[in-house]
Amino acid sequence: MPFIPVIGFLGTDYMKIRDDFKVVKDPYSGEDYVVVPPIIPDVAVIHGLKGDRSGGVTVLGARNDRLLATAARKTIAVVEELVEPGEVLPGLQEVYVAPVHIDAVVVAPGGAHPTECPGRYEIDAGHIMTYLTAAKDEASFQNYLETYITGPADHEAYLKKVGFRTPDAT
Amino acid sequence: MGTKFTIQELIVSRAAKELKDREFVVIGQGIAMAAGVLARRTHAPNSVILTEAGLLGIDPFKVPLHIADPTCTRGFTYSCDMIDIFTTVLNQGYVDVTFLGVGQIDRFGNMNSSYLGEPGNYTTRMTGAGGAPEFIGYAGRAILTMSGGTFVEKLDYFTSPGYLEGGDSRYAAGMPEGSGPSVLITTRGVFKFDETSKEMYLAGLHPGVTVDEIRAEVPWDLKIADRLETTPAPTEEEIAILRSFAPDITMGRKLQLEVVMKQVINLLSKGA
Repeated sequence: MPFIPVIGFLGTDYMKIRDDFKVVKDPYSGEDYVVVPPIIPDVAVIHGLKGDRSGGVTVLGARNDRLLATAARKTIAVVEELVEPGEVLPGLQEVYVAPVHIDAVVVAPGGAHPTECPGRYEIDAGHIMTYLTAAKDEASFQNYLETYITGPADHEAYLKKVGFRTPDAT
Repeated sequence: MGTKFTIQELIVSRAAKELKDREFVVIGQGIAMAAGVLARRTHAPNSVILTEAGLLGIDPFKVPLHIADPTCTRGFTYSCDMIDIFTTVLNQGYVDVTFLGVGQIDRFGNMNSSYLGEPGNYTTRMTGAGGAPEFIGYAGRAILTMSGGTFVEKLDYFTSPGYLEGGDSRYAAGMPEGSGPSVLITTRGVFKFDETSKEMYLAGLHPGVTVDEIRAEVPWDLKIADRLETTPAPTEEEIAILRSFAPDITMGRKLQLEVVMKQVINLLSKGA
């Protein structure tokens, strides 16, 4: 899509600070509309529930992960579970994202930590507070990165470091 | 004496009453979501809450942290993406009501939720627009709440359209007939908009608040309704719902602690 029309921005101060928002005439009705350019991410990372080797994945809830995957040049799907092709069927309240939109599937149970994966694990509010506190200054942020991101050898080591437990583990 | 309640609980309870049963209402987070859920659990059980992120018919079990919080996935009946929400849902006229929190407001209900001060040199950066300009532009009506915000002659930044210059100017600019802010609920009172001039007037006072206190906050010569409503205190039922759904938002930490302590003491005395 080259651009999309949006309504509601006409006359607001957004038009003063956003050079990329333009006003065009609707060729059909003759009305003025604000149009906005597309955001084309180089890479999108989405979190899914199930994925297979062909790149099909299911995600929970709204269709925005699918929207991201279709917008980005490359999309990496981090999934909770690897399943056989043909078993990536979206359940009730899940959305299927087709392999054509996915470039890599990473199997990482707990991959949404510290945010939640409804039905599997809760948000880790304590860890988010740790992050927010650490992000306040450069030194503590570097310390956070070393402790949780660059320090742990792999995803499992990270989960161990943050004390992650799946419902099964408890 | 009834249960002690907070000003936030009063605002939420008053805002909830603005929602009618079977309405489609788009809600973000915080006070607005608490009001929507309260309405659904009391007088408007068939109203449909939708989120900007693309879920319709949600029944969240706690106040979402953001518009795409998976908390919102409980109970949803239809899932789409943001483009659908702003095109096939909003622009087709399916949204009856939008709730919005306000930072600054002028006499015609135009709103700032972006910057205090100059955009390039601001003193406070607020949450910004999100989908507010479009929702407030095209929803059937808007229910506004303001706690901590201010009334101004001129907005520091024009984020979302109210009634523009008043009168018919909003509709002349292309927004749907009859749309616009219907009510503003602040920490002190309730404001509505004149049917013809579209100027804001004082319609009601919260318990214990005087007209003079309100006038002191408003920089223009505020018109006052002939009969002022007094905001009813939230009922026991409403307080119970709010405290189980959104204790941190509606009670504040201090009262939350007091109530929890009271419960603990009750439990202990029963055990003894």
